[in-house]
Amino acid sequence: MIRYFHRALAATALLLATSPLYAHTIVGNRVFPATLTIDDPGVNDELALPTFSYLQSANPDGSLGPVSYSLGWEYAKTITPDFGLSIGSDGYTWQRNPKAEGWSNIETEAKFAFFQDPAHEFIMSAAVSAEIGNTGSSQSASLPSDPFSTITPKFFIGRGFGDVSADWVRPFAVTGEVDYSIPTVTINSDGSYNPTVLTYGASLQYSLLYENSFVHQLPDVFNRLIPAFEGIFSTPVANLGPADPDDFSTRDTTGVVGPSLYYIGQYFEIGVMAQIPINRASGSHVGALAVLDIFLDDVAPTSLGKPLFSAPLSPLAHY
Amino acid sequence: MKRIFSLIAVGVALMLLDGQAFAHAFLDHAVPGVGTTVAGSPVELELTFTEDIVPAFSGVHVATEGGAAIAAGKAVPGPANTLHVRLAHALKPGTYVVTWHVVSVDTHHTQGSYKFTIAP
Ligand SMILES: [Cu+2]
Repeated sequence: MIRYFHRALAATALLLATSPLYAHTIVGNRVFPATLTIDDPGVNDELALPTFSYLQSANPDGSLGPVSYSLGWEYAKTITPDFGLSIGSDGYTWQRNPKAEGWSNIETEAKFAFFQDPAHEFIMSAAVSAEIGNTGSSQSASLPSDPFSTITPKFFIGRGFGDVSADWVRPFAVTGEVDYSIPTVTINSDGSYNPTVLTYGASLQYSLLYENSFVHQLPDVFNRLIPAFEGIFSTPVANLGPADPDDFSTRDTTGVVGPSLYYIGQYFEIGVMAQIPINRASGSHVGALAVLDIFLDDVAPTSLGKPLFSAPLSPLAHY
Repeated sequence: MKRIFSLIAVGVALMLLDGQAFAHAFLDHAVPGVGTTVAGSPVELELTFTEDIVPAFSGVHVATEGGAAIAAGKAVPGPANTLHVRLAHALKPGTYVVTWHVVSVDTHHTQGSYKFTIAP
């Protein structure tokens, strides 16, 4: 598998050298990158392969807990310009201390961008995802997947500030996501509970792409970058189960925040982030997130990368 | 599972190799530069876009900061996604607003504006 990643990366590296800019969720003049902690607010044709995560967790007594590395993926396909389906997974996780490994469940999602206002770079979307139980490693694996399915309604929002009169504000944008995850099984066979979880996150982005095109020209090295600060938090809200004196509280909010940097190429995006745990239940020290996201609408604009159903665009149509 | 990953990776690599660019066209750079201050009046403006554009559906307008239109020729396409606009007269010192609209070859319409200043 790693060998193939290298091959794909080599092919992408070639393209990096050839041509300039731009893809992803685009609303008016705003390019929203696919962010690492939360999803971008739009519907698109993309292949995120791989997504990488590294995090060191802590034990309740303060000692170092398991370290995990995971490689995930996601494939998103537009059905109409505003409606898309995706399939993905947290993928494969290698854990040390103690040693364990396994595949995560497969997740599918249907997403609808129900509001878009190009002039105000404003977009809102809603989605429902289903994580399908037992589609990852079996229960006998050292890191088994959840044996139950989870249904999650989601809401997304994105707003760029290009319409503000103060020039220094115009490159900024914010995005947000709120999820409500409902497990289909509330109590496991071993008596443990599967809580209902509220997950919420946001990003503040400063687009050097935007600054270069509309406010002040920048040297080539910088004009494809979007630095950001983002975070994601999860709070169990129902079906919490009894407290375990040897473990973190079942009511604890966990989360990570941190700075991130996105490079928007012609055919792909590379993103990296330092994830800082907000408390001991979230981790013991700074971890990392990274993604290679391939823009299928630019790679294969006439086949795989275009909506299955869309009216032919007229050159005079506005978006 | 391993096989699925391999197939996806190989497929992507193949597509990447025959891929052609068809995204939205944004302004990559301009002369005089976006947001810059220059010493004297330029003879023409040059706008370079990130994608191939359709000149017939593209245009550029110049105005003073107050909104008074500046006489200029039609936007003429040059090589490498550029538009050239000849100014009818030399510009006086001051700040000018350049408004552009283009249609990229994938038929996406984009538009925007930027300022440049001529130093007194
Ligand atoms: Cu486009």
